[in-house]
Amino acid sequence: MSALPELTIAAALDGLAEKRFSAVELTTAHSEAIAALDPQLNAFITQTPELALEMAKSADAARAAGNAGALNGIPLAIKDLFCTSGVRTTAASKILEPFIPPYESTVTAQLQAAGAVFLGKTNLDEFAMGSSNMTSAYGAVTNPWTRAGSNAKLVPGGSSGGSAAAVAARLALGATGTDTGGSIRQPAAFTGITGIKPTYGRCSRYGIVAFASSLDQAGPMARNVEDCAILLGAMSGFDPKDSTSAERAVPDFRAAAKRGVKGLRIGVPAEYRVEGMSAEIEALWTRGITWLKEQGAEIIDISLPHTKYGLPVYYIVAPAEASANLARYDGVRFGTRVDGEDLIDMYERTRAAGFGPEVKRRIMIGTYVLSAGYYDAYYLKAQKVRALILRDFEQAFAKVDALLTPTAPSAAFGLGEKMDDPVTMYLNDVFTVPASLAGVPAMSVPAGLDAQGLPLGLQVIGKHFDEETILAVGGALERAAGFTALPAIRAGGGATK
Amino acid sequence: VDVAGVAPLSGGAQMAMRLRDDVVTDGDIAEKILANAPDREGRFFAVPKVVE
Repeated sequence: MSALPELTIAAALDGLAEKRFSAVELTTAHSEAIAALDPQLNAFITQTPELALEMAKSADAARAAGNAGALNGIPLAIKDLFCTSGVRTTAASKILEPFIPPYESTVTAQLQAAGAVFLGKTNLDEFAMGSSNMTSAYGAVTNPWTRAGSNAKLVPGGSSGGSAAAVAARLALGATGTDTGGSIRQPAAFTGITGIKPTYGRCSRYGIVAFASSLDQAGPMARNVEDCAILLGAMSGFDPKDSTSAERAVPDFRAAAKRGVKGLRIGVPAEYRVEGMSAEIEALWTRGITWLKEQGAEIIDISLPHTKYGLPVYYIVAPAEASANLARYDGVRFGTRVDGEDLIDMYERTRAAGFGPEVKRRIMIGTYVLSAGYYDAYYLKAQKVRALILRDFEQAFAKVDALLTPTAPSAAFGLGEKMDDPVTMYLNDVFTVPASLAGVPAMSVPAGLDAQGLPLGLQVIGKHFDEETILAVGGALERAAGFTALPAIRAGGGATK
Repeated sequence: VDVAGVAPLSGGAQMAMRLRDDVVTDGDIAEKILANAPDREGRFFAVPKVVE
């Protein structure tokens, strides 16, 4: 059964439908792979093999009864930011270490209703705040990829680094992620997989531990574009429990991935050619442009003049919202409590012990930019510049159907690198943050390897609620790139270190 | 950056706030809610004394 984790979701669905294997066999193969390889990767915070087996048995029973859902029997990994009823949900923070949600997030409830099997809860940066997975209170995640000729451990990116590592290492057929400023797309690029941040409002935020509510969006991570399209279809849809959920019909994303790009106008934004970008990233971008041109797309140079303000705006807006959202962790109703002399002392000790340094930094930045004397100068100003960033995209999309850019300014870096100066870490998100601020959908597709043998991703950005076009462009890039490289650590790969 | 005359953008949603009917949609789940409480007394969350 060692070959089962190698399958795509589409192929696994076919295999299950043709009864070549059962959901129980498929799930068992993945649970065994997790048991064998996760000690090296630390991709999971909580593994749930017994629960997975139960879900797989139910999936097989449902299929036998003729009630197979769209994801019947497909083993997935769930980012530990999605509340799962009865299964501990930590957000990779000590403050939520004992938290067992009494309810299910809408996205995971929809995946369950479609018949998916959950293998466990994946590691992430604490409260999704980071680009390396180094801020998790449950230890760093190791990228299954290594540089050619080196055993040095690399980061999987973040914040959905555990989900990315699990999918890349064949420990799950797909995973859920969340993306606030690049947390699906950057780890997807770092691990050679595909990930989509849908339009804000496409997937319900109900039951997802909140970081920055005006930016957070759930999305799928998988090993190819079609698999992402299948997952996105099951995750999307209107939810009355989320006041920002969009009342939109869910299109046939899987069909869109096969559309092709003939006649599409693809914009190449000049401002994404940032200073200090490596020649390899530049060359990859040029290759991507050529691939789309060869398949019949028209390439148009465009300008997004406020791109350079994306990061500063993001690092005001996101911490501001985080400081408000994280006020709820006070040790009273759930989570960890540290006793004190009185109520205030209890709050202070609980928060001092429960939050890690990056979370504390962002809460402090957030409370500062929202404070009475600085609100207008920082928060309000940032919101106005955010409006200009959205306007940039709207003007661009009057001329083009989608944009092509690199996903990240570098390949995966070493565990512990870029930790000295938070700003160096924040620069990872330079290409992903603007789409988050504008609320438009974007995806990362693996497009090649750098000179050290590490995967690099290209990003496709689309119009609001036009995930279909980015899937079409992503599919075209995937066909042209023919990305078949495999990570060193993977189920069935035999690599042990 | 010149932001003269630019209205601040507070959210990512391209829509107006939706209102729902003012009706009870769930409730009577005190035990579920208290299950995660670090400390409780009966059907209440317990905290250190706040009145002298």
